[in-house]
Amino acid sequence: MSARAVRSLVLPAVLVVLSLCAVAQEPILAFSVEPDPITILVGGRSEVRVVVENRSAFEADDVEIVWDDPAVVPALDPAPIESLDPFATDAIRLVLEASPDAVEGARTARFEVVYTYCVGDVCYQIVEALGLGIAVEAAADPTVIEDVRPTDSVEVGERATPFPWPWVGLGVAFIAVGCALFVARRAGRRAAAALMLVLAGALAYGVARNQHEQAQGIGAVLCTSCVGIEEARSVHDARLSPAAIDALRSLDVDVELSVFYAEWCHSCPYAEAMVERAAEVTDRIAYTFVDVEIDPALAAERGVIRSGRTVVPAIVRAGSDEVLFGVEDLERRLLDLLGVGR
Amino acid sequence: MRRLTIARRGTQGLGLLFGLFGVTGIGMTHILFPGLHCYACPLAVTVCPIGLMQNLIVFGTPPYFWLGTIVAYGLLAGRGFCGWFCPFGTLNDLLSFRKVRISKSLSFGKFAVLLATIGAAWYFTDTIFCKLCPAASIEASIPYLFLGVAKVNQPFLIHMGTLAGTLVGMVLVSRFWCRYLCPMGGLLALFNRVSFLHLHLDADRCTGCGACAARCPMGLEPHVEHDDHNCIKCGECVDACHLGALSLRYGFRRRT
Repeated sequence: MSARAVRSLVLPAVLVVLSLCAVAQEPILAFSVEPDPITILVGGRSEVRVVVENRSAFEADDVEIVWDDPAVVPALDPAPIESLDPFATDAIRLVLEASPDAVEGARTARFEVVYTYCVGDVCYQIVEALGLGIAVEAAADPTVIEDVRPTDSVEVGERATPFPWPWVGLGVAFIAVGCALFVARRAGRRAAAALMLVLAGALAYGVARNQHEQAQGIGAVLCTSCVGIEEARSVHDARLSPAAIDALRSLDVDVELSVFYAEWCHSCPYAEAMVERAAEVTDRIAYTFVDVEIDPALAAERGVIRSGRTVVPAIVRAGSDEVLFGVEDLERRLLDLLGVGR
Repeated sequence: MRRLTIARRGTQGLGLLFGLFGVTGIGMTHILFPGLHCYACPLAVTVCPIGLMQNLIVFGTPPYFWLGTIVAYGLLAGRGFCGWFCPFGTLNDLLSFRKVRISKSLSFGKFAVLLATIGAAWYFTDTIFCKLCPAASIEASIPYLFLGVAKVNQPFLIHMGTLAGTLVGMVLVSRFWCRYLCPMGGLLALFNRVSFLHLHLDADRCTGCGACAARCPMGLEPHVEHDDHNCIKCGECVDACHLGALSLRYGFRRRT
């Protein structure tokens, strides 16, 4: 095999390895409930742990449980996880209590895990809905967990995030093929054939994971700060000036605002926070947040599209055709939109 | 005879039309563009591979679909897409007045830009390259200024600065962007030696006259480096060679 053929394999292999190295773990938190399902005797208590795995390369903060089942309720407020490091695993201990008049039978209790996830200066509050199978049984011999004390989150040993076998498998297979070709003849054809296998496998797996839809979604939405149309603004900068607060207090009509955003848009949290700040000043302002990837039809209907591209962040006032794109000079433009600008 | 040059102008025109196909009302598709073409362009119907790559790094998504598509493009034509299809390459072509000899060490700059793009996306969790990309300057910043979305602000001026610098470079050195800086060219160059579209040299016919080198817009010497990662397979050298020593071929390569 010629040195040239070897070189031809090394570079694609480097590409694959770089790609694999460049990506972080799958987003964001993964949850499991142990044990699931559980049995609780009427009037008794039972304990579960909600195990939280951070699969991302960034820290997750304030992971807490919001319980939403009236018959079986936490006996104590579950302690939130204040901070979960990248790739770390932790758990929230949940002591559940069935009231003395709880109806016997099996049910699925609903609850939510709420957490904050920050990428750079941009933070998101994410809500994951989960379910837990609960069988409520008659209390012939009620088992009560004695001495249940409030506790901090429980450390779950050193269990690591599931190893990313698909990625590593892809890379290793590619490099193995490359090594085999190193000692083979007619590497030009073989290298091309091996690359065809890689591309077919990667494409098929990517499509199976809906990554083509993800690519389309990213392409279809223009985030103004992402391509340098304007500077990104952090949610921490979302403050109203005293003059703006005075102007908002003079608002004498009810106004409904819609903020159109995409989850990955850097400036959208700033736009959302500015509308929230304004709504805190006067109860004349009602607002909704619309994810353009979830509801593109509404975005189209409200004119948040310029020449085929959905532009975020965008703020629209109900009954008005005007759309505020981006976050530059947002305070002044927002006041103008509300009709209280100077 | 410049039959390949004429054919290439036709495919470059198709590349431009494909880039602006949004004028028909078709929205964004799942297709990755095989060149440098900003997906923020109001008329784009395809996704920019470099922009998507950065977003996937920011999201932490394993890039299976992206990787498969890039390998497919690499195998199909490698840097042939730069020479025959890429609209930004076409702009480079139109301004390629001075066909100076390539500086080999500088030509690795595109790999450095590619690595820096990956590193910056990961480190800053942002699409940093897009904020500097001259293709985005032409295809997003300027159109959105007229659409009332963009304003003349600092990011806009940065875009105009990189665009101006790139245009000056193109005028001074033919295919300046493609030679030294294009990360998409860097990606496709990785596959240049195994791609189906390739330049074939018949060594028995070659007299080493250098006519091909004088025409090469990438500043190569095709009669000695016909398999180079910088070769965009444009075929200018094929047209220039009166002895028929060089030819563009498609398919599995035969080792000579």
